Amino acid sequence: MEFKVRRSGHIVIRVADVARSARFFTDVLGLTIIGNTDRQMYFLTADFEANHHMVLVRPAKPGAAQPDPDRRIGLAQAAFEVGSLSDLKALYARLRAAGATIERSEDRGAIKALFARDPDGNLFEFYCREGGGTPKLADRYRVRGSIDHLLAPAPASA
Amino acid sequence: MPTTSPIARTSHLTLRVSDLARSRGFYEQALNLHVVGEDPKGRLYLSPEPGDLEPVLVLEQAADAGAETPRVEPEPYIGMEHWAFELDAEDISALKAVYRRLKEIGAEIHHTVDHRVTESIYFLDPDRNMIEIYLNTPRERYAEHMDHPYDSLGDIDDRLSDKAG
Repeated sequence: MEFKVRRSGHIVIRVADVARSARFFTDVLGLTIIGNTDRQMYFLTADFEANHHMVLVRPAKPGAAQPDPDRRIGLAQAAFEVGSLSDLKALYARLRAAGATIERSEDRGAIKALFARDPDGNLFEFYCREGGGTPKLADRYRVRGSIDHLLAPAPASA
Repeated sequence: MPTTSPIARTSHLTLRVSDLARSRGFYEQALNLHVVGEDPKGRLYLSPEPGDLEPVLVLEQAADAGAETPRVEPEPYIGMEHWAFELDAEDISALKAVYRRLKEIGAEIHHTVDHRVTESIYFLDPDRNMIEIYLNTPRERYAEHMDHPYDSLGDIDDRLSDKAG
C-alpha cells in the first residue's frame, strides 16, 4: 500500500514564557485554544473542524538554550495562508498594535506576504493569494517589491 | 466553532539543514515527497505529488553547517522544535506503509503513540529533527477528547508492525 502526505498539520513550539506566547497566538493571530493540559501545553487552531490543532505551545525547561532562530539547523520558518488581502491587512494591524516584530512584506505577484516574529523571535510567513487558484512556483519566491503601501496606506497629504 | 482568525490554513515549513542533498534524499524516501522546484538561492520545494505547486516543505542549506542542531528530549531548546505531517488516508494501512518504509530506509523511529485524535509515528531526520507523521482518527472519536486531545493511550508498535493482523 502506498501513502501520501496531505499537508503539514501542526508545529510544536517550545517557549520561554507560555502565558506570553499563548496570548500572542490568541490575541494577535486570533487562534482559539481548543485544549490545554496540566503540563501547560496549549493546543491552538483557527478551525477545529478543518484541523484539530495548528500550533502547540509548550514551555521550555528553565534555563533551556535559545540558539539564533535565523542561523540554527532545524525549523527556520512556518507559513500560514490567510483568506484575503483584507485579512492580511487586519493581521498587520494586530501585529503592529501588539508591538510584534514585523520583518518585511513581499509582493510576489499572485502571492502577497508578510513576515513577522512571535515573542521568542521565531519567524512566520503569512500570505494570501490574489485571484485564487494555484500560484506558479515562481510566485513562491520571486519578490517584485513590498506591499507596505497596501498594508498601511500613507495618510493623504495635506 | 466561531473563529475570528484571519488564518485560513497551515501551509509549508522551511527547514534549514546541514546537508541539503542528504535531507532531500531522506524526505523523498521517508515521506514520498517530490522536489517540484528550486529557487535561485538553491532552496528546494517539496510537494506530495510531482507537479503539485503547493509545497509542504522547503529545504534550505544552512550557511553555517556547524550551527546548533536540534535536540530531542530531555533538553530541547527554545524555538520551533517539532512538526507534524498529516497523511492523506482514512485507515491504518497507510500508516503501516510509512512504518515499513521508515524501517526499510533505516530511519530512527523515536516512538509511536495513540493520541486519541491521531495515531502517530515520531521519527528523526538526518539532522535529528523529530518529525511526526499522523493519521487522523475518526471525527466522532476525537470530538469526545478535544479538551485533552493529545493524551497518550500508549504505543501502537504492534498495530503498525507486520506481526499484527
